[in-house]
Amino acid sequence: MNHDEAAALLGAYALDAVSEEEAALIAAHVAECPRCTAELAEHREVAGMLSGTGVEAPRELWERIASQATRPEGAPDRVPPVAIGPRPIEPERHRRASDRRRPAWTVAGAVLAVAAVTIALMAVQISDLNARVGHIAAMDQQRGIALAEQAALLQPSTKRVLLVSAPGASHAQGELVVVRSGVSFFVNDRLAALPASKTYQLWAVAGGKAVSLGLLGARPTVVPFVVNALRPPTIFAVTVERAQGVVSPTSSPVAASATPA
Amino acid sequence: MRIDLATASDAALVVAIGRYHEPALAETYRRHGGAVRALAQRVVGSDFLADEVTQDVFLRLWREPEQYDASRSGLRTYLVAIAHHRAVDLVRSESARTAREQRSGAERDAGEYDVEHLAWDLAMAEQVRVALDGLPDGERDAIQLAYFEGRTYREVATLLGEPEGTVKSRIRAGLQRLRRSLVAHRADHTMDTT
Repeated sequence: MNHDEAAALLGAYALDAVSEEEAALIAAHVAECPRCTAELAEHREVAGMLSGTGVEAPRELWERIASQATRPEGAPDRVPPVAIGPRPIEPERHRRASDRRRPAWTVAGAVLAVAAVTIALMAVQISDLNARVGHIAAMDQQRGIALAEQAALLQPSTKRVLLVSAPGASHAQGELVVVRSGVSFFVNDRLAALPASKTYQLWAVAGGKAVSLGLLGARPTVVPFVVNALRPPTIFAVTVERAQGVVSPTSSPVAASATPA
Repeated sequence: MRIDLATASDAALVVAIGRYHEPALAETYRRHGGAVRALAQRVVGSDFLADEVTQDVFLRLWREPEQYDASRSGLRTYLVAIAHHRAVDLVRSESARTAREQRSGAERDAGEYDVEHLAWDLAMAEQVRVALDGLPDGERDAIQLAYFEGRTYREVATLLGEPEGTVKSRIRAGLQRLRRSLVAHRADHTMDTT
């Protein structure tokens, strides 16, 4: 199906008013055509507005939905669709007891080396939602987030993780506030503002692999993110990446956790 | 920290649903369940099937929250689109089609079938109603038959006795006209869709 044919059917397609065969052809074209993608999104938005807006959903129906909206038996704590990627971060099960006795900065040094050199590519798709959540949160809800972070600090179970630029550095670049529920905050101390084409990106490092925890933006202040509450990551790193974010780090960390969380 | 559900953005709710946080799904249902069910009801014409569609939509969000891409659409747009697709699947199935033809015929006999009033029983936002009202008849009829009746544009063409190409164009032009009208309205009264 060529562009003109597909475009002519976009309205009908947005209303599910085409045959299955046509739908497949249009979808294939739209996937490759930014113009049609944009027009389709507009049609769908209008279609969405045609639904009723002033009605309340029945409570009994919610009871039915709730009875089936359960966590599948044995399912791992599911990672959020935006922040972490397709599978939970594995805890470092095999860390030797002797590691824990090492001074904190050697762990950080190891992290930096690991993160810089051997980070394996993971099939992590960083969705645009990731950036959206980060940016919306960072800009529109900044005050609320700062308050939430303050509240989090008051909870006894909350952990604070300092991020340092290099082993032994005396000043922290930033700090992570990790709440038991998994909701966490990055708090910037010394990371300088980046040009708009760049972003800071936060990573969890486990088993030699880095998994994106989200984009922090070019001028981060306090940025919320979410970690696996049952098995929180033990090592964090921050890199500078292009503004859209990347699936695996392309540069050495500018900061990493000084101590395992 | 607990998420303040009442003030959380839709995107934040989806993140929480990603963590199997049931109250986030409840809040999503509270915000958008009414719209989803009203549309489903309008298309399938049955409370029972509308409930089925609504349940499918929210359980799908629960099980596959990663399917929602906030950069592409608002959450309501996404949920309503799934509901519509599912509802259309149902009405296009053979048995439902037969039942609907009978119902439609009965309504026509009773003089209740009026293409201009197909959508009016929906609890539709006033500005949307006004925008629909402002469309040329041909565009409005085509959109209503396609969207609320689950007809293909070919069926709409047959029903209205118009060439298929005309119906295609009218649906597309009508949606664009609706959008301009709604955007103009939104510029006047900042519309809150959450």
